[in-house]
Amino acid sequence: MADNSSTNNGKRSFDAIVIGSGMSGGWAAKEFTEKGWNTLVLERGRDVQHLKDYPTTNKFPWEFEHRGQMPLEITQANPVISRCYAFKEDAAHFFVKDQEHPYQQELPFDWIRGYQVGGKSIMWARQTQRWSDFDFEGPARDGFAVDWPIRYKDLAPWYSHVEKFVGISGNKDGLNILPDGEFLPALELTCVDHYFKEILQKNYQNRHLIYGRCAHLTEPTALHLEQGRGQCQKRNLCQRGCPFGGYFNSNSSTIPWAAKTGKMTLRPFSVVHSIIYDEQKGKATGVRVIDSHTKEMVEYYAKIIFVNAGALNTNLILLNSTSSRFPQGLGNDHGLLGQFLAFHNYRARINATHEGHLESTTDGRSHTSAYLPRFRNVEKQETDFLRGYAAGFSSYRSIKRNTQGLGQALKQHLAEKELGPWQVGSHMMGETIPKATNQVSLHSSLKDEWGIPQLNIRVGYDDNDEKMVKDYLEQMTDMFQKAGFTNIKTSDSKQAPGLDIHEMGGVRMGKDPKTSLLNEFNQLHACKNVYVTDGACMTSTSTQNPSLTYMALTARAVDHAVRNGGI
Amino acid sequence: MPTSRRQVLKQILFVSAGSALIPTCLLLPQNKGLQLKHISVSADQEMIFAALADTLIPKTVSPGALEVHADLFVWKMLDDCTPKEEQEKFLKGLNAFSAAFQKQQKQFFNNAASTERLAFLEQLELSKDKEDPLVIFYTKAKQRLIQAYSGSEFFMTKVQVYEQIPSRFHGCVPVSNQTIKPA
Repeated sequence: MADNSSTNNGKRSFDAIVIGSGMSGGWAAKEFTEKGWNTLVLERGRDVQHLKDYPTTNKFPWEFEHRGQMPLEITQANPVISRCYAFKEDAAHFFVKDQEHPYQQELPFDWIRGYQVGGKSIMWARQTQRWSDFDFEGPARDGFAVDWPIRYKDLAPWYSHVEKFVGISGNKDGLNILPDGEFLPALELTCVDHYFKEILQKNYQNRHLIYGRCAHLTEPTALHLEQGRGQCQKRNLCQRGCPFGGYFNSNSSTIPWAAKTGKMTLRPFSVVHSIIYDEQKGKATGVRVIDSHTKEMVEYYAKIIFVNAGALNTNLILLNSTSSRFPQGLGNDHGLLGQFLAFHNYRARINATHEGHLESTTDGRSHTSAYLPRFRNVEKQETDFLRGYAAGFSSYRSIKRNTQGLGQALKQHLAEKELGPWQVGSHMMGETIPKATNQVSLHSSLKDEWGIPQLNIRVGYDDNDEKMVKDYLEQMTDMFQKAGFTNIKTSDSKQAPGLDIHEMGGVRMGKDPKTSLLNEFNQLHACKNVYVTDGACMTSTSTQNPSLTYMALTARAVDHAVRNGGI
Repeated sequence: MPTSRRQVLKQILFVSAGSALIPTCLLLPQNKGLQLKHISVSADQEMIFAALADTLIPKTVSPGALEVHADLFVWKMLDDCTPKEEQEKFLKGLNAFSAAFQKQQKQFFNNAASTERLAFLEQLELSKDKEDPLVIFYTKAKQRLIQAYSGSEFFMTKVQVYEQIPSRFHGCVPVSNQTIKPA
């Protein structure tokens, strides 16, 4: 029945099904349809079409009822999403409110979600750094998680493939820790970025401040223009969706590209309940979808299924895909599904004042900042904690507002624009070590609105993370002092995991089916026609913003699936 | 009838005195009442706060706080985005401010001449007593009004121009002489 595709189920049978339309799902859709495969893309949320569905994109600051601030009624009713930096009046409509899809926090976890076509690619921070073998070899060298089944050389051509299409602005920095890619021109660093870069060069062996590579079209190529995207205009209002298509999101790029092939069927309002496993055939045959409005269940069938629901929802779908062959969830013969989750530690920050360079300032707006790649434990283990952290670094001239006086005098003061000293700041992006105890599971009784079990999330910090926070603050303080920065202030937000929006793992890749879920091409070891190429596949996290790696893994996996004719 | 004549006279005097001395009062929403969701603000409170806004940032050759509805924006933010305790503190502060003025000047703040209003605010500006609830209220009110005024369309298009689409980023340019536009 399930496979009787051409006769009974014409409209419900496809060559490939992609679950999710965000960062990685969009790429699966593009790659499959370009290769001529009829592809069904399932999205649990509404459709968001480029330009048409960016209601706030051209609004001026004064056009927002509360100048961007969220009303207390909303923040009090939605404490989790309200902690997200981008949940403001201009982009709140792209985020999932707490009660729209509840979950159980066995430990505090801020699960930040975007349920719509494009997913979180609409609101992402657009930072795109490649991994190197210092990252892929981490678990094997340092004895945690399992060895990655791939190395940099396996992914390098796919990084290039993705970068050319997405459009990445960056410099060829020649650093072995952060390989160069296919770059569009970078924006300038500020004078103080340059100054700090020199201080680091003078004082340390391996601390290189670079321009943070990011998904912006500084100089669009023919391939970008063909997508209908244009040059980034430095508005830095990206989270609203860009009227120029100046940064990459699925909505402006991969999804319309896939649609143009005529091979894509996009189905919004489709909550995936589970993947259908056929015992006789020994493979997956399709998915069960609940229409989010009618709550009706419909089945769709395909040769290949890509799970790109977003790391934790991908775990949820697989855990909920039970059969007599897989009573604990699809591909989960050993109970490892949902375990070894990890994330990025973003707790620590440092700010200071720079008294120099008063003759200079910046002009216009930048959409990124400087970036300090990992320098701890790179060549060898050298601290009392494993792995390390990357750091963002930004510098800008503060504005002094004179609010003295009354009446005409006050008006005059407000009209004056006086520059204050440079302000500098940095935040950490720390690697966390995946552990069996950091896990998600299905709640035994609580269900969501669609009758699907709610997710229990149990993810916490450990001693390694605490040591890393301490080291970051010490090292940055040392660097700031060497630069002569003053008024140095450090902070540890103690924010819950999840708020980094870099949750990863649970369906990790590995060489051995006994200790991992996915092989080197992101196929479930035990059900080869199901691929997982979103954050759930990550064996370890390293320090880089992960989206670029998900996209490269996805393109590589589709290539594998198609070359193998659907397994 | 004498009584009613007296009343009519009183009203005329009140109105003419009001319009002669504080012409901006004509801009005030008379008994319009604010449409607020969480707090209730009386017409008196609304008028006194409007007069405070008008005194702090008056209309000159360019619009003042009332022309850009800075006072109404402050009420909106107080209503929608401010915790209850802070709302109550603000309203209490406003009442105390009004009472203090009335005690000193024997008239309502919004009925006083602008020179009298300015003189009263000067006292608060110069006060060294940062613990004085009146000074705390005044400082907060001024801060909120400045935020509202400088976030207005007028301010962001005519005074310190907000560039929605800069189309450029230069990381290191000389600080140019700042042009000061008349307010």
